[in-house]
Amino acid sequence: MRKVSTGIIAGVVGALCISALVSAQAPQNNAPRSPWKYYPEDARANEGPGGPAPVRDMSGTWAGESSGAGVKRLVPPERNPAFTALGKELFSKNKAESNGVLIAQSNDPHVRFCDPFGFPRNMNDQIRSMTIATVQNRTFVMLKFMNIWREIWMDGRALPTKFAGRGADVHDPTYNGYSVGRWVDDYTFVAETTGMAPETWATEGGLPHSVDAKVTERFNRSSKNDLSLTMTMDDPKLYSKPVSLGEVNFRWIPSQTFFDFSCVPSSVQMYLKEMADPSGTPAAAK
Amino acid sequence: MKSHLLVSTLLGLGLLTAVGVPVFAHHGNAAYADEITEFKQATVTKFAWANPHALISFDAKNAKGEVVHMVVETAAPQALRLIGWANTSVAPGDVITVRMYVAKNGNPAGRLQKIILADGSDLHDTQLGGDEGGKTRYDPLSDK
Repeated sequence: MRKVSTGIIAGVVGALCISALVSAQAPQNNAPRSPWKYYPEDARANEGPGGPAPVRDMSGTWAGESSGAGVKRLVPPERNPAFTALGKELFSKNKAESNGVLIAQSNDPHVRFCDPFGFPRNMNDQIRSMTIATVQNRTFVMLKFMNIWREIWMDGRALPTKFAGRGADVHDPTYNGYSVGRWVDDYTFVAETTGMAPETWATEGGLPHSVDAKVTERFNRSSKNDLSLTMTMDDPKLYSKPVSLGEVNFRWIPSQTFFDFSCVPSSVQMYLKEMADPSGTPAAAK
Repeated sequence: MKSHLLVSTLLGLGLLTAVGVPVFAHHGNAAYADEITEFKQATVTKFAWANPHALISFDAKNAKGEVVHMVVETAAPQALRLIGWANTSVAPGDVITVRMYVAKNGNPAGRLQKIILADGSDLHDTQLGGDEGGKTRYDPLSDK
């Protein structure tokens, strides 16, 4: 017990020291600073690699492209992948704002209702920040946008493969699917996911996916401050070739603090009623 | 159509000013005009500090004393906080200047460029550093 107490005290003192150090190194202004607030200028000022990447470790809080910290996306998702006939038909039904459709005419379930993005879209859209934590048999990826957490099992289990029909071996599809992962070298972690709810979009651009899609994520930590994620989707029902879901980039947040950020269903209804729908009637498209 | 006439009338009366400023790619910009329209002496009726977008509702009077009611959207509160906004930045009853991109269809709505408060200070929409990722419309270089 005494060791635990000592450890806690040491941890708190260490955190305070780090916090003070971070504050001292941040761009100076006279405004009081709080350890509970996110300061994107700190992440922006934390230039360079910051040292070598730790071995087999991605834990911590990372800023993405919509964090205000100047993090740039590396590669966007494909916009015109090799559709099958069914894939093309399903894609044609998705009216995505990023394809030039007004919000008023969009049927994006997130834009209209704040529905969960689901995986893999939640890893390639609204990339604000994420925290990664690993316990003995799992890695958790926690996304600040919509307060989502995913679990990636690392205990050697096989991915489920049946998500339709009847039988004891059938699994319900879920928003985040079922994920397993492993380190393929000291700095690269690969995760595979199946069983994603087919009503969700794979990208902001409205790419569909079937319940049989499989997504591979490749996290690469190239330095202390840099983490990239490349995603590929295999879904033969809808695409004749694997689809690139792009590559996103993350930067280490020195204070490890980010803010809560959610789409609020009641607020989005107000927004649509008072703002987006009135300004987006068909006349606006002319 | 009625709203379109109202905006047109206000423009004709010189209460609104169209300012030639280039538009930058952003979330939902297809619905909005390419130029900034300025509403002076706008009285705030509601400030919704809401996700996904904060909304400012306001009334602006025309020369006949008629009130037009407008709604203008800006970014999410979390992004606005990074560039100096708070949920108390404006309140019902405040008299401000609103510079915005109005809806092309003439409905009384639009996207904010910036507001100018009674003390002369201003608060703008998200800019680079505040809400990146294609959500920005405000370019500080164009506002010098």
